[in-house]
Amino acid sequence: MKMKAYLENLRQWALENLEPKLVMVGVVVGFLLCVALGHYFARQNLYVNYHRLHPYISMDTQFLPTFSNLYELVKSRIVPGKTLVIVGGDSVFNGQGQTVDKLWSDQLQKDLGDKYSVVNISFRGGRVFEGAYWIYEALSKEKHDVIFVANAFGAVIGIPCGNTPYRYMYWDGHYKGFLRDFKAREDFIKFNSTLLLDQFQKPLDELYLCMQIDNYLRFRDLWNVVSYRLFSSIWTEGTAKDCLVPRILFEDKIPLSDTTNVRDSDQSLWLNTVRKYSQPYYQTVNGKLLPNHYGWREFDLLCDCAVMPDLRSNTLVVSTGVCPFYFDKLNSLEQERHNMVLDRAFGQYVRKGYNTLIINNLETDDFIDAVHLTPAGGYKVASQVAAKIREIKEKQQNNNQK
Amino acid sequence: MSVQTQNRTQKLYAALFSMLLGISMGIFLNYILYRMSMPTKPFIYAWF
Repeated sequence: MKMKAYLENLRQWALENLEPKLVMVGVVVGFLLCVALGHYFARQNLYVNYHRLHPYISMDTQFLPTFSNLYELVKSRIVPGKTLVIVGGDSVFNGQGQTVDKLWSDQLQKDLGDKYSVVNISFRGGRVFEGAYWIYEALSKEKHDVIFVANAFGAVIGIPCGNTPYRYMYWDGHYKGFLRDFKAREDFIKFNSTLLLDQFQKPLDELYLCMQIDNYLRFRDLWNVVSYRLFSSIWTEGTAKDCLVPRILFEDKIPLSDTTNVRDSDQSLWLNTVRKYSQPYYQTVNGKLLPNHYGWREFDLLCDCAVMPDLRSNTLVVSTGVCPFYFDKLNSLEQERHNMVLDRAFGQYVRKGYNTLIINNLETDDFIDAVHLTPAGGYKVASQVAAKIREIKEKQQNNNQK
Repeated sequence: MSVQTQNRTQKLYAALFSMLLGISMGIFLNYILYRMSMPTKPFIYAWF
């Protein structure tokens, strides 16, 4: 009853004293203030002491880095006279299984030395030419010295305008004018509308609308800054009781895993995952492997429209392979199919002008499951990627001298 | 303090309060747009 009387008094007071016109002016001022701040923060690097996109600054906990956030982060790593190395790809290059002090991309920085600056913006659950690639493409407008490195499994490539859940990044960059005109990609989007559906098999109209509005109002940039620096306003299972704590205070807690996990993890799930990498590309007929032309036609098309032709010579696609423990569990035909897919896919990358690196000297002890690497495995990858990057740079320098 | 001054002060407070209320509503509207842009469920990276 007391509360009711209090509210009634408040209502009376408001009716007698509030000035509607001033309230409306305030609404407009408050909203425009937010828009102005959003535009300001979109041009600032958000991240402090950054090593990789760990779960507290990624979609796992409803923190969706904007295109501007990542673009400014990468730009902040550009140092005159140094080659910028942007690391993209999926959880393997994100360092799943490696603690932040044993992260492979930090080792890559050490291996490459002072002439290079490495930044890892690979996404857990991402694809080879998502997220980080679009940042690379956006940066190419400014003619910086950049090399893009990403990992790939066989012919798994994904569609060029993003796959679930990171497709928002593509449309974010597209509507904000970061991405370049690329006819092959635009044609793909135009003629493959059936691939552009949400989880309910509906067109992505809401996503397009959201990103178009955000281009003008920049609410995502503003509230990401608030979430990161002041307070977070979203409850998720990952943050639980600390849901109000700003994300800047969360530590990168991706746990260290060792190779004992290879045998402990769900082997049948991993085996099926490994089989899926090669299944769509060859079919078995009378005990022989025959190419699936539909699968390869799609791969070749995606190779053409994923990366702009002039950016391919500075793009390095890396295969870190599959844990030998799991590979040995495949039957001989599946093993043959796996190798054939890798050869055909990486051969096509080379034909299309990409640089490739197939790492096939990793042992079971270098893996924590079928695909992710231990710190030791990560260091082996880092040294080979570093050597390949140096080779690409030398090749470029020789071509420039000619 | 005269009644006139008291009324003027009261009006000033009311105007200030109206403005602040409006600004808070504007900020809240902006925040609502941000929340509407979020996925309904977080993407949890599946790692077996």
